[in-house]
Amino acid sequence: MKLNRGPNELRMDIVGDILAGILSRRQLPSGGWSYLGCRQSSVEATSLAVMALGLDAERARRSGIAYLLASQRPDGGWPAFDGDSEGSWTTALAFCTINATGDFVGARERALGWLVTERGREGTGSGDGNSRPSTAAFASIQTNMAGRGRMERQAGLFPRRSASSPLNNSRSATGLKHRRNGSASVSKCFWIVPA
Amino acid sequence: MLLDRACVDGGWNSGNSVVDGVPLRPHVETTAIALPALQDEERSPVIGAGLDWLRAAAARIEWADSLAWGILSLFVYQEPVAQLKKVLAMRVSEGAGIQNTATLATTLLALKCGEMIHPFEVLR
Repeated sequence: MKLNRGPNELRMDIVGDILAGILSRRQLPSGGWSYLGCRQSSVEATSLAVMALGLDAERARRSGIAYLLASQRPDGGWPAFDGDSEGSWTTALAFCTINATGDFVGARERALGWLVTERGREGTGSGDGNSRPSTAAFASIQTNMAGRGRMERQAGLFPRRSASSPLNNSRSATGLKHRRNGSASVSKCFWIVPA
Repeated sequence: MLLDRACVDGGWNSGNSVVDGVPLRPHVETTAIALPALQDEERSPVIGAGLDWLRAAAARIEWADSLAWGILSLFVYQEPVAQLKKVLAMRVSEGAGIQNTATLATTLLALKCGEMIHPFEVLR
């Protein structure tokens, strides 16, 4: 990749545009993205791609979100890959992606339910099909955002923080997963950001 | 759990921090993911040590994926990332194309850090 440069300057905006173009072109007909050019979509790659493209590639982003919504399991979790039979740590990441839209309350609610249900359970290793340290399980979810966190609080999932907390107007969520052998793994954890 | 699993000298790895009495080394990506998870927590010595470790490690990160996660993490803690972003952009522009789409997307997120809503920062 050769880029236009000033005397001592790399045009990061150009780099970003090029990367965004590459990312858009890698989108699969399903609306998802795969890791390495295969035809099997990955929820991790899709979630990160949707977040990275943001509003710069609205069409790709919309179809990516549609893919995520369609691939959510009835129990609220997301599989690591198309065809996997169970939810995985990628639920936390997909949740962040969907949550950033500020829409799709039902999908978010089901995902939260899955995350809460899975908290503390031993993982099955699902989602370890990549080279990254992905034996992570759910550790905690926190939602503190006034207004937007209402749904979660109404569901009784997350109590509102004390009034003195400086975080009353924000919310976050993290997801971790435990190794089956009981040794804890600190790995994938993601945060929810207001749209 | 995150605080409990921190490595002895700061940061996190993908498993236990000590095995058979031997402290294990932290990993960049794991530390970079763990730190934003703790952004709502009181700034404890464990968090401070992790941040110190990542700050020091960031200067010698070679892999785009780890560097991108490092940038995203340090930004959450209001650490300067402009130089790291330049390094990342240079690596991407000079190296072969990023094959892994997840890495590509994370790199793009890191390069846009500060220009768009940070996907892993809790807005206050």
